[in-house]
Amino acid sequence: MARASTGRTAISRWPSGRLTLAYRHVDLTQFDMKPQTRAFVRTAFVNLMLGTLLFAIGLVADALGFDARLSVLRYPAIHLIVVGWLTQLIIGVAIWLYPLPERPGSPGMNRLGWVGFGLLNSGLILRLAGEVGPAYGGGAWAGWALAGSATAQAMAAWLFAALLWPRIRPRSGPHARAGAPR
Amino acid sequence: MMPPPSRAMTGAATLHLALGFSLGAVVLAAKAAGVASPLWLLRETHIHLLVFGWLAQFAMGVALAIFPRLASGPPRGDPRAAWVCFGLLNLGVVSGAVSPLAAAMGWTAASGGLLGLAGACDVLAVAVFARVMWARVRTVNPVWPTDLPVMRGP
Repeated sequence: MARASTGRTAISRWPSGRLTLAYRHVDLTQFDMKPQTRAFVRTAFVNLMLGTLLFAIGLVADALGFDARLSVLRYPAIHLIVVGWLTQLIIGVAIWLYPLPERPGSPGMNRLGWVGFGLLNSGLILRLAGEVGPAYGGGAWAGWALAGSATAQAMAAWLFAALLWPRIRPRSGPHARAGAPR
Repeated sequence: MMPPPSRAMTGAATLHLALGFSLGAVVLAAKAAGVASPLWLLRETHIHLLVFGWLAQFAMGVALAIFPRLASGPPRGDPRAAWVCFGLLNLGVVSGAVSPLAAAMGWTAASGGLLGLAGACDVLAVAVFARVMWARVRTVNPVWPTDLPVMRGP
């Protein structure tokens, strides 16, 4: 292992080729944003933009004399902002920064996060379709879309709770020391 | 890293997330069926659980853990105040969640009382939280290096 150190800071290259940057013996590279978190946060940004756009369209469509049916967009737009943006951003950051479980997690836990991600976002799309559908002659399938959305999002919430529950605990190791960086 | 009040708040928030989404799913399913249903009354409970029980409480719990610590006294402010905040907030959330159900049962006075209790508890919890956190909104640890090299991935 090659190591370059300047007082409290050290950069190491491990036999595997991995580079780590440590400060006061705390490996800072463990805080790299993982792919799952990147997916959650980027999708949250997309949902924020989409939600804001749809809300604006819903607001002005009726007021400015465009298609009045577009006003139904406001409800799924609020949903996109509160669930698709706020909740998804929080879950993504929690997956990234929360202490790891006491016992090393199985790869299944990681897959659980991806399943929850898929369920949450497909639930949001189904909600949008289910709310807008009846105004445009899609009443036959809109009910099924809403029911699917309800099921998918509830399942996603329970998956996230199961994923985060074992990680709500004090951090052990150097971080727990009073003098550790904060 | 995470003090006990912070763990309690984020844990309770996670429970409220799961419960609130489940109630929302029930309401949405009733909407999908396209009939007027008493299940619609759960909508208020769903909103209260998710806005105060999940979003607000989770943000408070994380803020308690990660905001800069105080130079003197308890590092994260008075822990008793943090517990009071946790208790008040959750009492408010539960009261606010139960109130629409009491109204549905025809207990109008009880529902109004619960709603008043929820409002008072939520406001007090936020006031206590602001009192605890006010001094912690300050410059971060000055020994933290800001000129570290940044590793760039592919």
